[in-house]
Amino acid sequence: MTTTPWPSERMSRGGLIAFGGAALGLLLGTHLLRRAISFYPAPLGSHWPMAAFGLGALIACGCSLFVIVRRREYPWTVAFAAIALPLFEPSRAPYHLVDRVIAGIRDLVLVGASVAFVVRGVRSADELERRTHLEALSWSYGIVAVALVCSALVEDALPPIRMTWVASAMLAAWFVAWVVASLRYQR
Amino acid sequence: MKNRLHVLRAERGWSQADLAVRLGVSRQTVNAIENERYDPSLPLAFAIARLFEATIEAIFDPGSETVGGSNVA
Repeated sequence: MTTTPWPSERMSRGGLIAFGGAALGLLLGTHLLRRAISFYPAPLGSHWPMAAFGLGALIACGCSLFVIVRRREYPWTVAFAAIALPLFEPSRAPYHLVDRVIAGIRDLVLVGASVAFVVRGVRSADELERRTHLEALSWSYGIVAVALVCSALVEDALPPIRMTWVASAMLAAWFVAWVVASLRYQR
Repeated sequence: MKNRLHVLRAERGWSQADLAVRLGVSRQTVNAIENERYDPSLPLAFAIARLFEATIEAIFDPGSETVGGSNVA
């Protein structure tokens, strides 16, 4: 009997490494660039290495995502989106209208391409994989909905919840529940 | 659901991956059916029966499983 450590043919060690690289690159790149920009009025020489490293990390993130797309391992995209969504902060949006529109179009393109990639992956899945997705979505979104209701009951004692956090929790729960559901059908 | 998929596949010397390619499903699906962890849909059951040139009943045995609370067997 053949066994595999992966719950699906859409996941592999190479995909996991690419996902790790993309997540690390995004978090590191975003952190470094934000720190570099916070020094903005200061002379360029003092913070440009930080900005360069940040940009390099984001480029590495993009390359890792390209590897995931080429391997068609769409589940990693769901996990990556769960990590990336909390980094979207409307309060940090550009001040000028033109910059806001450009940033908005950039985000729409990124989100649209990600959704199209995942939908294409799910549509090409076989009946068992679709079933595991259905089980995972029902469990994960149910759990997130219950958690949201519970948090609403004690909202005075909690910090305000941002929508990007909720979306991130839904995607993370979907990914984890899908891995668990897929492993349940294997011995 | 009990089935003879593993036996039929072994008789032909096919791996799970070979059978998966012939059926147009993933290897995980073949593995799950063989291990009786997943009951295939009717179209997939017919495809399996057609591939092994047998009837569905000759491959799958519902045993004493219940459907909607009533006994099948």
